Amino acid sequence: MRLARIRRLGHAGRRIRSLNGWTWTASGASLLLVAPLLVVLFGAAGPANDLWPHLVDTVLAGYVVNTVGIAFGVAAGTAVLGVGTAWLIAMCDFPGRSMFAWALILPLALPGYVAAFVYGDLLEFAGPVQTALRDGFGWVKDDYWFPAVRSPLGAIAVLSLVLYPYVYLLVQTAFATQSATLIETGRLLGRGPLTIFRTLAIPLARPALAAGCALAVMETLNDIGVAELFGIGTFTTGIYRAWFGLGDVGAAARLATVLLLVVLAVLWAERRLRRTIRYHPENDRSRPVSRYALRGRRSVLAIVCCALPVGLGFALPAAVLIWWHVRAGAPVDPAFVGIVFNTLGLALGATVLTVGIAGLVVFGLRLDPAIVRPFARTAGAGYAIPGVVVAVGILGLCSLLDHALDSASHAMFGTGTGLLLSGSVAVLLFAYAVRFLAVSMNALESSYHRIPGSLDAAARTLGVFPRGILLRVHVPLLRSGVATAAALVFVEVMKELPATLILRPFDFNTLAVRAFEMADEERIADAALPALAIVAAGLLPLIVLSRRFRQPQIRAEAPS
Amino acid sequence: MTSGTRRGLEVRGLSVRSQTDDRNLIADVFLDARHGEVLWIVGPSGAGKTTLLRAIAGIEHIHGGSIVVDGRVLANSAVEVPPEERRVGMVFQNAALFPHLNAADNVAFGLNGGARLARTSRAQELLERVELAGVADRLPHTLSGGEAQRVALARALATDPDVMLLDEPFSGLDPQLRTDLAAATCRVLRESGTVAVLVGHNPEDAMRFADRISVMQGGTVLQLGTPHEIYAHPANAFCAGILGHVNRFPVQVHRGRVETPFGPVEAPGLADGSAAELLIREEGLLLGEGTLASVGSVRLLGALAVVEIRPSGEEMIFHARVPADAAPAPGSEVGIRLDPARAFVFPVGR
Amino acid sequence: MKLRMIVTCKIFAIRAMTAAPVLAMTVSLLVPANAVLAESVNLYSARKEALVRPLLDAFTEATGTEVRLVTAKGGQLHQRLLAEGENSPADVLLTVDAGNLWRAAEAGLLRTVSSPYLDANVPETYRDPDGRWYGLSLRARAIVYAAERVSDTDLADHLDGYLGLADPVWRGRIAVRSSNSIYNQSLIAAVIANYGPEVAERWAHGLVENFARPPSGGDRDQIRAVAAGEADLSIVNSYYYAVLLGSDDADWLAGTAIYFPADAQMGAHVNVSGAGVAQHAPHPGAALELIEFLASPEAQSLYAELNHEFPVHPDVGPSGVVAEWGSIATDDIPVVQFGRLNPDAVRIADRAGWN
Repeated sequence: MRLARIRRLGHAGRRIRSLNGWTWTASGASLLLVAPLLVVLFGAAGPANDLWPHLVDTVLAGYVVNTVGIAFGVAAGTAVLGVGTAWLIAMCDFPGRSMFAWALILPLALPGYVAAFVYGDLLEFAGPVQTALRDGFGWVKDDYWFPAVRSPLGAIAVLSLVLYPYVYLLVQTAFATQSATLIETGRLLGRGPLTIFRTLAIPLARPALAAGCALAVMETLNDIGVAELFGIGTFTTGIYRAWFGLGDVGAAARLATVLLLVVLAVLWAERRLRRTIRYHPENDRSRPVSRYALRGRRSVLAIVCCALPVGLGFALPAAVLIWWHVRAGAPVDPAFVGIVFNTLGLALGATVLTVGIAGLVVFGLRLDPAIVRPFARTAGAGYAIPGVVVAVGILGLCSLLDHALDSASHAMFGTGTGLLLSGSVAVLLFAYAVRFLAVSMNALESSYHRIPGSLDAAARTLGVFPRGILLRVHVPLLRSGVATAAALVFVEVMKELPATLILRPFDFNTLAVRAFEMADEERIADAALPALAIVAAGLLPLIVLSRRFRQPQIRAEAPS
Repeated sequence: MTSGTRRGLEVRGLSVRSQTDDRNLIADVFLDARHGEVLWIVGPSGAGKTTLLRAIAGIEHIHGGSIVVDGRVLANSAVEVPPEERRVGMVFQNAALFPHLNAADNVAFGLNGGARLARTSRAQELLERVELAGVADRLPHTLSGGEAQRVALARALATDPDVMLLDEPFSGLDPQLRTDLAAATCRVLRESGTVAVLVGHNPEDAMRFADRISVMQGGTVLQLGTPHEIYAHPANAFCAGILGHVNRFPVQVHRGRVETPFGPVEAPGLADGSAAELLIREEGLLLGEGTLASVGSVRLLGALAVVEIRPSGEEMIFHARVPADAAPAPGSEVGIRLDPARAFVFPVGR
Repeated sequence: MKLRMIVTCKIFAIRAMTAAPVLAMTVSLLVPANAVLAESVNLYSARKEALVRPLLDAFTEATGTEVRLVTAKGGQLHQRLLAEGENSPADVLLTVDAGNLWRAAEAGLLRTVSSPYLDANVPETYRDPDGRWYGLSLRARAIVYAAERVSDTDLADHLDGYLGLADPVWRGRIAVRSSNSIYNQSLIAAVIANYGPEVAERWAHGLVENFARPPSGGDRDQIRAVAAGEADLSIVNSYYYAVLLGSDDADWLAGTAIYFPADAQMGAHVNVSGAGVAQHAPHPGAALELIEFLASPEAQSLYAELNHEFPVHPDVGPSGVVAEWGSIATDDIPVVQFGRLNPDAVRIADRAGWN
């Protein structure tokens, strides 16, 4: 029996090690998720239309300036907010610190378009703030200067406020788990907190910072709600307009291609930044860092610095929504409960599917990086592609499959299957997987980096491979990574709008769809309740997520 | 299951290349080890010791050569058996215990099939073998370094491997614990009848516990032999220096011998006038009748003392290891004699 | 060996156990799309659920036919229909503008129907000449202005028709939303249809010069800007103003009034919301029945009351609020032109810098 085995290996031994079923499955799953994007990109190769030169002549330059400017602005904004608060929470002690540690995540529950809607309403010329200023000082128009909220700068501010938690989450973890020895060495060498921050903490946290900013930038690039509400022309609104306004798939696909290139550049930059430093703090036995105790004025300053992002990114908009809802005094729609259940069920299903696929891909990546990496990286690009582009790609893909199934069924059974996939919840779940694979993969990968390769090697020499490694070693050790990934995907799906809108089945509403329809119809009081429900439903997973920080993690390394 | 020929581990002409550049990490390595024997690989960091172990385990792809265990080819130019089918156990430098499993579950990890009860009792039995019966329920992070290593050993033994590889299992432990652990480990390994290949830094441990020693440097095996063979007949200057402390000086060969302040040392086969290197073991300089030398510092090491001596009329400083109670006083004059069996001359450039 | 067998069997059993619910779930996920009930009609609507559901409920009550609904933007529904092709479950496409209906008809997504009832009750200007779609309600693009700062003579002298919006007298005084809005695109298209492309181009440039602020927000925000004093004129759909007037806190609208531009060439610009039967409709009969119902006096007055749009049916009057504005001279360009001229309109907006 053993002889036979050896002989078989004699023919294919070398390949068996790298190209096993797992790596193929992982690559295949990634490929499936990229397929909708490819369907769209093939559109770019279609016949040239005279709309494209027109776009180049008129609006393209503006799209580039706005898109790149907002992306950089959001990267900078989220970096400042995220790193600043992460440092305070991880390295300093002040009253309310433990509360802020989780409260700082809350803005993630607020969809960007809702925040933009609220701030646009509050801060525009006719809004309560400017009205109060005019009434208070007796000013009229042109007597005073007030920053225009519906502007690229306003978009940067709003997006930074709701997206900084990505940076905060990742960098805070990096600060908290970084080697206490390193920080303490810095302190013993007589370095003040600022110097340590600049010369030690930031360089060590750079991979986390890069990952967080990349997530924020990708979300910014695919944003349609904020740009639309603020009247800013970006690649994404341009795609929207060329495609759905003008029906020119070719021009839209070209814009999408340019956007995809930008996305790939962002991903490349992120990988570069990550690669520069290879330091695994878990390799030495890290203890919690001893924090700086802040007193007096400094502790007040720290409280203000943490309260501002939470207040502006979460508390204030949520309060305004509550106020709108109460002021309108509208009765709650009886269908509302059903919508809530739809949304929760959808988010739950999408979370299981997405995290499952991400786990598979990341596992394949671990088994055979050389083969799986290119697939995995491109599959993650779906996160930065506007949901509506993904949705239309999926429509195309599903109809291809459906038509194939239908004609096969006609040939075999004499009756068609019609549209089996299109307009089903399954397709919606698939769309979420395409969109949010990157989010869950990022969380799982950073968790994976903490599992030393020697554990895999140990398991293999004990004869356990590869399913055993996944189920008996990785899954138990990845629990916190899986929880993070699941919480993030859940919240993202709750907020997702364009793909849901296009792909959903008949008579199927979600909170985001309802909030959007009401807001688009400018019935803000009716939009407030579903928007609040999105925020509320997102809070639960986020609070679970924040609990991670308070629980001591199992060290993936035995003491030496 | 295995065929009757228990020929142990045979490594022939093995080479492994770095995946990032095309550098050879190890090249043309020959090695064999028998069942029930502990083969100890010594050498400086970067010598390729760990790479060799990983190649035998199958975690590292090989570039050339072959690895055969009991006549079964694990790897050669055509075959590469994956690690999980090699029946090769490995204990890692940091123990690599699964942090979410308690000691007993770690040990039982590789046990497939059978009732849970049977696996548990087998794990308990193995823990007893490594004298850790009491820690079965404890999680790895509550174990001491030595305990963790012994659990790792028990875990690797559980699958009854044909070959056991141990990668610096005792590094980072304090000396007393290290010696005890090394003794216990080698005892368990010999009892198990497996082929044991161990990588370690400490030459004293190697001499004390190994059946045979393999000296590695720069990716190749320089010498393979019993501790005595390597100590008494080192193949080159490096092998001479690795098992113990030596005095080394550049010298010139005159008529098949080298002159030293303590008398001539034979240098057979070396050309007249060629440059050579003289190595004298510190314990090869004996107090007694012989060349007069002045004593510099005297450092006590316990039973032994290291004495700094300068033969009269010479600039060179030598170190001698002498019994502590016979150590001379600093500043005194003593007679020094050379034990010719502990002095070696090697040509330069080897 | 035996032990191993048992273990293998166990694994299979576990696999089967996990596979069954997954399979069941998959089937249940796929079913809703495929279950096509005989007594139902499937509607793809660009009109928001809140604004279309009451009409559909009335239809179900009148006919017993259930209506299954998907809402999205017109262009998105267009893409969905395209992708689904001949297997599409859609029976009716309902949009809020003529442009999307025209484009759907051009793409072969709508079928020609013959309905004496619709032909008799939907005026020719508001339907497809080939009978592929019919307008169901009218939406006028009007001017809401600050009565304190804009006198009737100002309006008479400088804003008889829409071309007056480019008059330099309005420099820095006009609020309007982005040209991404189909309402603005069809307004530009109507100007092209009436005055020709050169005039329209000059007009759009002049209009952009007159903006009080970069275009942003929705129509309601433009009205707010006028009420607050940021702008003096706003270009908005009339029903937004009517809805605001009908709301509880309408006090802040006190200083504002509505005006429908009209000159000798072009009356008040009117777009339609309308519907057509999908090319591959599984229930074409019920589909047509639904559209006919929507054109019936019962549904038409619902349109008027729900959202203060103008009924398309000549015999049905507007809502009370709208009726107070008096009779309105509407543009007589067939709305089908808006679709045809839409690409030109968008290009003009782009060149003029109307974002």
